Amino acid sequence: MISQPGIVGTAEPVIERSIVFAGDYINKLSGEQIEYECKRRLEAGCKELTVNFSKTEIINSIGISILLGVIDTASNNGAKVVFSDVKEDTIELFDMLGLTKHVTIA
Amino acid sequence: MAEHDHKLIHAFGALAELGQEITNKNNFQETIRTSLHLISGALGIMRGAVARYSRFGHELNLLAVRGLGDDFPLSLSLTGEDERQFLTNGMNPIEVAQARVLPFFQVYDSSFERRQLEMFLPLVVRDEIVGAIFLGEKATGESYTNYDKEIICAMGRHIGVAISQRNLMAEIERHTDENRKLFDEMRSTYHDTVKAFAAAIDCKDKYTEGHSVRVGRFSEIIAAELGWGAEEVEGAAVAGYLHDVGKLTVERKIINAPYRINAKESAELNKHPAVGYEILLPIHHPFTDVPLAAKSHHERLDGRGYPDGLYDREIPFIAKIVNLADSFDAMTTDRPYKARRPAKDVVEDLQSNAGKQFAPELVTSFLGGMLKELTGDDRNKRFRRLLGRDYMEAEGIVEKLKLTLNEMAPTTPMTYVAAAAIGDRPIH
Repeated sequence: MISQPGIVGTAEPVIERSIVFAGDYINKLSGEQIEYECKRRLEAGCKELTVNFSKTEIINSIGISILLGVIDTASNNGAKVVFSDVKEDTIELFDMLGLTKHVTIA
Repeated sequence: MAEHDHKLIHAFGALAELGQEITNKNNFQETIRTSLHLISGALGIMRGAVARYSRFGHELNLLAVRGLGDDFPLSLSLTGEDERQFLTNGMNPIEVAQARVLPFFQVYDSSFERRQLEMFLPLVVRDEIVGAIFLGEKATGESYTNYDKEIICAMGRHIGVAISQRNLMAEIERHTDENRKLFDEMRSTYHDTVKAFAAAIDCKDKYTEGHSVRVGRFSEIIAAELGWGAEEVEGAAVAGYLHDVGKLTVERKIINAPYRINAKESAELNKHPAVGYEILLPIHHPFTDVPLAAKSHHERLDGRGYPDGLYDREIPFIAKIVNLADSFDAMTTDRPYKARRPAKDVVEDLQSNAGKQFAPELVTSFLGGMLKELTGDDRNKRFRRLLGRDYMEAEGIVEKLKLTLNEMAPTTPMTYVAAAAIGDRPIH
């Protein structure tokens, strides 16, 4: 994980760049776990959030909705979202549904 | 594969999941939240909400929200004009920008614009508005296509049915609750009436004040000791309360005679079980054996009772209970011509008459209940309240009860009548 410590309030370190690793199947349960991790980092002041999809094979509609929620939260917090190691099929899905317009694919 | 086909397959997947989600018996709130995820994920919609319509408040109350922010109203009112238009429109998506003529879109215009809400779908099921779906912009930034609207409609129908079913269930639960309350009130009225009857019966006999109520209580104890359910125990109590209702027709001077009554008076008094049966029979009792208890509570196992001289198995069980309770009360209360008997004597009487007058299993259950209370195994003080503490705690009563129960145990739970006695049975 690449991190650059900073300060939030008086004690909490701010990790401005953070990576969350997604599992092989992003559905409601695993999606909510990703959402929780992403929101926690964004609320702590993370300015560049990377979601790594190297293990991800399938994403269902709930997974897409949750990722859209992450993008929305990042946008509201002035943070950038990066989707990394995304498989070709998944890129097509993200492209078709417009997610790629809001994130950087790496 | 063409992008259109990809979209179709993706949307079908979401629709299938939505159908599964709605038919599962999950938490309703969670089902709606998942439904919103599915509709957003199927078409790549950035934000939205699902609301349930309240017919009483004429408002849409949000059940699930995504990305609308804390300042978005949780409850949105509809005017009569809005309702009419939504019903006429049916379940077809309305583009917010095109619908500003309606009061609803005028009132909430700033909220909708701030959160970039583009699409509104009234959920109409069986000509009733049950809710609505609010949808924001698509992540692609493109406008909603007719194809998108078809998908939204199809998913909206599922969500509408889920809300409608939930409303129906809530209505059934409310009716069930009302019915339960009505039933409880009726039951309470019935019990008050029964107790009033019992008091009226006891008023006739100045020497046995409270007799019917006590017989009701003793019958209740016996039934409880037999392990009966709450309903049956309640039935036994009612049977006890009303067992002497036939005495209402017996002359007061016979009932209150301060001497042993003569044969003619006795014949008059002995009509009360049959009369009680006639009085109680036309009444619809929740407990069907109540009239039979009144009719047969003076029958004996050995056939020497009245009015029908029935034997053991011919006597309704509830009548056997009331018979024991009635006799026990007669022995343990002062009468005009006889003082009440000591507890040990009463126990001996019950034992010696078990199998003749009383069903042995009832005697052992009853005495067992008494012993449990005296030894502290039962802290209800049911006997003490009815008989008085001094009477119940007479010296040696615990040992007497233990001895009696030990002696009677081999014969229980059988109710027996000697074969010879059956042979002597009179022909009716």
